[in-house]
Amino acid sequence: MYGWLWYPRQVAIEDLRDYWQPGKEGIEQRYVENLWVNNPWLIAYENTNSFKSNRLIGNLQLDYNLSDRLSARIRYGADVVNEGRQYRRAPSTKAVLLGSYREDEITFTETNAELLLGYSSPRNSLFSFDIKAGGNIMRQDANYLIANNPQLKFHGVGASIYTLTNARSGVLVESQKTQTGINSLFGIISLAYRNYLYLDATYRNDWNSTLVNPIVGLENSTYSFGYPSVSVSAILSEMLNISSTSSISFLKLKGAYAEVGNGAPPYAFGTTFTPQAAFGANSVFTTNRTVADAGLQNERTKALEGGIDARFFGSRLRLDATWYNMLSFNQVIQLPVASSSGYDFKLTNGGEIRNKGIEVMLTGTPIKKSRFQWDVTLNIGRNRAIVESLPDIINSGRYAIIADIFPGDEGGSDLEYVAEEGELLGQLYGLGFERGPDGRIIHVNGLPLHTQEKVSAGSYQPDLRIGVYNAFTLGNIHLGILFDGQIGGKIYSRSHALYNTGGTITNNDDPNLPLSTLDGRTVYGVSYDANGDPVYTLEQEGGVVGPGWNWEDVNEDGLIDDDELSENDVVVPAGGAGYTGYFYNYYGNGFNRDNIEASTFDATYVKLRELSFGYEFPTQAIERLGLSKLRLSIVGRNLLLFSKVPTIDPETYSIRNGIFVNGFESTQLPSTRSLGFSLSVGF
Amino acid sequence: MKNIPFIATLLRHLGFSLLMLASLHSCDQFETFNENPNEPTVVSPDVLLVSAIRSSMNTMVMESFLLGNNIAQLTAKTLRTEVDAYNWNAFPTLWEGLYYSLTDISQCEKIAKESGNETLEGASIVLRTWLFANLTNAYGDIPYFEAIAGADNIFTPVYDDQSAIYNDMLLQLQKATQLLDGNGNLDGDILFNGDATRWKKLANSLQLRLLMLAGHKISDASQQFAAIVAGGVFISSNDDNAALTYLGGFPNQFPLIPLKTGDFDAVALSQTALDAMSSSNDPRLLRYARPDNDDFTQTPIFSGAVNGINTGDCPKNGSRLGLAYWDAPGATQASDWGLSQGDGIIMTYAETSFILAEGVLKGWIEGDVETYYREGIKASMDYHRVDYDPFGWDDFDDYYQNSGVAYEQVTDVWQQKWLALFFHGLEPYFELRRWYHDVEGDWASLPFINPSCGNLNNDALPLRFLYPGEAQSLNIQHYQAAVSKLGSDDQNARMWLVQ
Repeated sequence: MYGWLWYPRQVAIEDLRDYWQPGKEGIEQRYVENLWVNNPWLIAYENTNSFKSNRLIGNLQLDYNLSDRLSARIRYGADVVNEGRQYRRAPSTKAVLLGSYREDEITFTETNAELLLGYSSPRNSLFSFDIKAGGNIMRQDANYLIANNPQLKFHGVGASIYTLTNARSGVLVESQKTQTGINSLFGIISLAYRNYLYLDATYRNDWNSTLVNPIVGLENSTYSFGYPSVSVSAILSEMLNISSTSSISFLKLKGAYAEVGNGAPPYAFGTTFTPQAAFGANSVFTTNRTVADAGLQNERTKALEGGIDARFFGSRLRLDATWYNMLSFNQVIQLPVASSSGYDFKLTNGGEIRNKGIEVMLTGTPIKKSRFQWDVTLNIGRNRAIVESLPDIINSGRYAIIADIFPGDEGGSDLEYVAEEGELLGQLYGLGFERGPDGRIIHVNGLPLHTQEKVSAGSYQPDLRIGVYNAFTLGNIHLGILFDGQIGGKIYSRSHALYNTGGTITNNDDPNLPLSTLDGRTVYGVSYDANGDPVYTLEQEGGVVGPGWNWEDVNEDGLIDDDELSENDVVVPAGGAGYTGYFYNYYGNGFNRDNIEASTFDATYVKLRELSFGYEFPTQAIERLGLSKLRLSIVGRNLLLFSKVPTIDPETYSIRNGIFVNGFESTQLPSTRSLGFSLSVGF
Repeated sequence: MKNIPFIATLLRHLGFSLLMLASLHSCDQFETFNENPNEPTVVSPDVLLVSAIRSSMNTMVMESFLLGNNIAQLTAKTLRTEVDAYNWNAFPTLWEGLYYSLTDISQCEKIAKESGNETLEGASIVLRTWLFANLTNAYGDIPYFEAIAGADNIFTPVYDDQSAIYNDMLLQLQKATQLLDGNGNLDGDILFNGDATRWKKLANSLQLRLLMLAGHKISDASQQFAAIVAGGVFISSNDDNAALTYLGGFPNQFPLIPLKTGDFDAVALSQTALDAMSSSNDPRLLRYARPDNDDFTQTPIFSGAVNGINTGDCPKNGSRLGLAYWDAPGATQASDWGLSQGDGIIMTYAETSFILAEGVLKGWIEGDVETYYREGIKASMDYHRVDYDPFGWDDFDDYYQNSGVAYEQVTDVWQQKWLALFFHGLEPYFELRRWYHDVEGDWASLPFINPSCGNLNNDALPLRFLYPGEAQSLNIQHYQAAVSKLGSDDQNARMWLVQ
């Protein structure tokens, strides 16, 4: 997408389909420029990433019924994955001019051996119980082998080009092996009283190899931990013997408390040294950038949950609601630390994050006639993830979960994804604009003035998520309409910033800047001389005046005083050199990519997620074909998007350091509409 | 009592089951699972020395290309001109890159010390001090005494006073020269190939550099300076140069070679440097830049991009940088002219020569300014293996006597030193800033340079780099303390060196 973003709009894509320069097949790509980006056809057909995966899942289970009441089960399961990946980069690819080829071999094995013993009490209508106890041995083995040929020796076409052995310099090899294991013992008790009151209680203890510190040995490590759970449900409609003719047809209350514990990443303990590519005949190792607490422990989550399931009027109306409150504490956190400490991460326990929320589903059938039916389903969810406390070593009240979302982006102040004490998780931090008394942006020398310290533009978390499904049935015709979306939450769009910088959007729909990228262009008139050669005359100098205040530090105290502000009239001149003209000078200098306010938007959106239209063939007509059901539908997905976020689809996220980062978008592929047919056949 | 047979059966089956499970996991040694099979916990120090030299050198080459040369107007940005328009953002890669390298060099130093390898300990201290000097010269107060102590649970190190840092850096370099006389070996020394004397020369030369930069702030600078010069152990020929010779293939090439064409062409020969060099027909032009007409022998033609903002008033068409710095596909290569790719430069004989010339001018040492001055220019020419012929000179003597560069005044030393510092890390900027401070911001007193075109800093040279974003996010309290001492985290705020 990054390449597309700079793609010149006046070039027809089909004209580039022959992506090699004639006579230089496999050597030199053909494209409109040779500075930055690659021919998209070259990327599609030559710079391929391919993979082949084999997966084998096996289970072996033995059941003994020792008596009517007593049973034993042994189960052994294995999941084996083998994957090979190949990465090709063609010669003349920008920044990989000599081409490269890399192969990854990945194997992953997980085995589980479980023994479970169970006892069931005699069944009677009053009271019954089940007891189960058992143990599990889990083992994971992963091997990751990377062989990278960073520079191809011979170029051209043919099967021998993209190989590990066609190497100009040495092949770089990396290998990662990990082995982890969890041994567990657990017990489960289930009680039932009559047919309306149920109770389940469990307890599990894990011995987790990732918490064994090999420096102090098994005996001195805290790698054993237990966690309980209990849940209760009551079917009140049975308990209170509510008559089936009443308006309440079913009523159930449920409640649960559960804890879960987890280990750490493998090989967390001790200072290690990471092998790197050699320098000639000199081996190279570098200090591992993560420091772990010697006493690292398991992390823990406590969750409390309550819910109701109520149905009315013969189930014409149904309410299903769940409330939950979950506290994650003692979390194993890979905390980014200041590089002046000599390290990148500290692996430690700490922090408390509370997730609380409610999920409500309301289903109803407002109209039910013999030939017409209307069903409605309404889903509403609200979740708040709040940072209750941070690990002790953080004394500033906030820490960056990701300290630099888009490494290498210009600006250099870095956008951050932040956990801040007392605030919603996932604050979007970056530089902001200095603003005048009316909130408009302050300019110096015609360019927007940034805050020195970073500010938060809010959190990604939406206030509500809503979905509404309407289904209509008229005779044999079905119509289904699903709308969903979110209210509130913030999204930062790097695409928007980039497209604006590149001048490849008009920017007419940007709520943060009432300027179009077309504003301030230098305009030339063209006429032709006697020879028919064009003659250009300057008609408009161009230049951009940013909307807002102009600040002149008259008293030179470095502070912005109100009487030093005037309406901005400083023209940021139009460019004359190459392709970096007019709007770029204003936008590229004032709305840099480390400015969080410049392209953060309210992420509220509604989508027409699905529209389906179906016809169910009459039973009599299809019985002759030996069918009991035949239904043909047209289904459209993602048909409409309503949102004030410019340029992008706000339903998106980024991935950094293996973490899903909500609230930050970067060079997304445009979301696609789909239209399909579905045929369902029953025999 | 009915249950007893069941329990007996149960136990029998349980035993059988456990046996089965155990056999499925035979040879399973749970207690050793978490021993890291990928990364050793103990290494010999040479592997860390190589890592520290390579990574720090890569950082400094990249920063000299992106920042040092452009700020000092030896080259000009043709795109994203914030750097030489003097409208600076934070430049985090210098901070992150050098602190990264400091971890390995500190580990190397620690292992060397524990094993009694004095020469390696000394070399580590030299390298460490060079890195810290770059950091403090760029940012001002920085984490120094408490830095690189994450393994001791110091994750938010204090920012120390620049004066205290300078004081300690000079002490450390003195200590290093003594250690380098001691026992031990220098395995993994890809910089000097194990020659302890050259490390000593670098240690002393770095002291000369630091004393020159902070001479007006350190009361006994002249005595310290004179003592080192009298000792005679410093970089005194191009054979002593502290410069890393890169290798052929990835990832050990000159760091600019893998760049995209657009990134390499975002920097070009500057009009400022072109004016200074073409006025004397300086043969280094053919090394610093590629001729626009690809003529390396007869009449090479060069052009200069104007430093400053990117508008029509500051034209950006300048010659592409020299053959040593990039392999343009299909174009003339360095090897076509028997030249090699660029080195990673820490310090060269040219620089020490000019330092001595300035030392004489300041009255710190006795001597003849012109002798050192002339030697500095010649050292630079020799280092770049210039070809005098296309510029109409027979040899260096001809050039020196007849081109107009012969010594006349102080600013000649400055100008020639400035030209010689091409790709010497950030030194072109640090030196320009010193002279700029010496002349109290009067550009007219610097005859070879002007404020950049249409600059956005009221014609002032910015005096420091902004602290990187991570200083705010990951060590905010000490960041704020440092900023309040400085006044504000501003490019024009005055660190101790320019007070």
